[in-house]
Amino acid sequence: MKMKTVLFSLVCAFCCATISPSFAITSAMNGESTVAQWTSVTNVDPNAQALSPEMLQMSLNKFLTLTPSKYKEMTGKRLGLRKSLALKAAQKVMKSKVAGGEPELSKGIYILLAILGLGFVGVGLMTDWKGNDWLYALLLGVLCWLPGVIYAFVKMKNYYS
Amino acid sequence: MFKNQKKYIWLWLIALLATPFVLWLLPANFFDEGDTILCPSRLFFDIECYGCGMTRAIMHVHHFDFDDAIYFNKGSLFVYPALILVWFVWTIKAARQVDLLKV
Repeated sequence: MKMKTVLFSLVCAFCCATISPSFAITSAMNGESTVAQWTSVTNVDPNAQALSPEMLQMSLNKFLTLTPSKYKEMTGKRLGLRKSLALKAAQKVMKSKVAGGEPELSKGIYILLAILGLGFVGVGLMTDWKGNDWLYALLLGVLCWLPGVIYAFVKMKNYYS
Repeated sequence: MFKNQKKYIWLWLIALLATPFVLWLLPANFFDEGDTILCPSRLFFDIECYGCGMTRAIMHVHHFDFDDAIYFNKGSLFVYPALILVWFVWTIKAARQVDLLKV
């Protein structure tokens, strides 16, 4: 029994020690920064994402809500089927980069917390305790541990690329 | 046949025939705006399922706006023909039941 307590304390202490300061990217940039600035900060290759020059000059918020019809309204040019798919893929990449930044927790610690039934702590730290994700993780964790573990693992792919 | 059943089938047939025209009268981006998330997959896990964006995509296909349709959901290009088939079968069936079609 004592051994278990000591082991659990050690794990908790290790978890606390590895929590690093908050995001560097998100503090430096905001939604009004242009896509070009974001791509340079997040190391996203604009050519690989097939971003047009008009898209690069847009603010990030505008880019993330851009649709082919909005693009046509703005530029007068049709985006085309292939570029429509590329736009969606680029938005996905940018969204994950913006949401992710530098992770607060290392992946190992996150997994450890999830397995120990403390997945909500990991989710909470990763989302800065904003939104309801950590609450869902807590509620699912209370439902006999396993749902919480599954939820924490499902959410994990949003935090780590 | 139940009492008044024919009346309900007539109403059903009228609704079926009116649906595509009503959708054409509405703008293509009618369902595009709005932040309400109904999909449990997106609500709880923030992961888009195969049905996410299908309503918006179908509306765009219905207006022959394929760029937007494929942007919202690639599957709409397969689902829309299937919907037409279902609509066609239901319409024919209802038309036969009210003796509009004798075949």
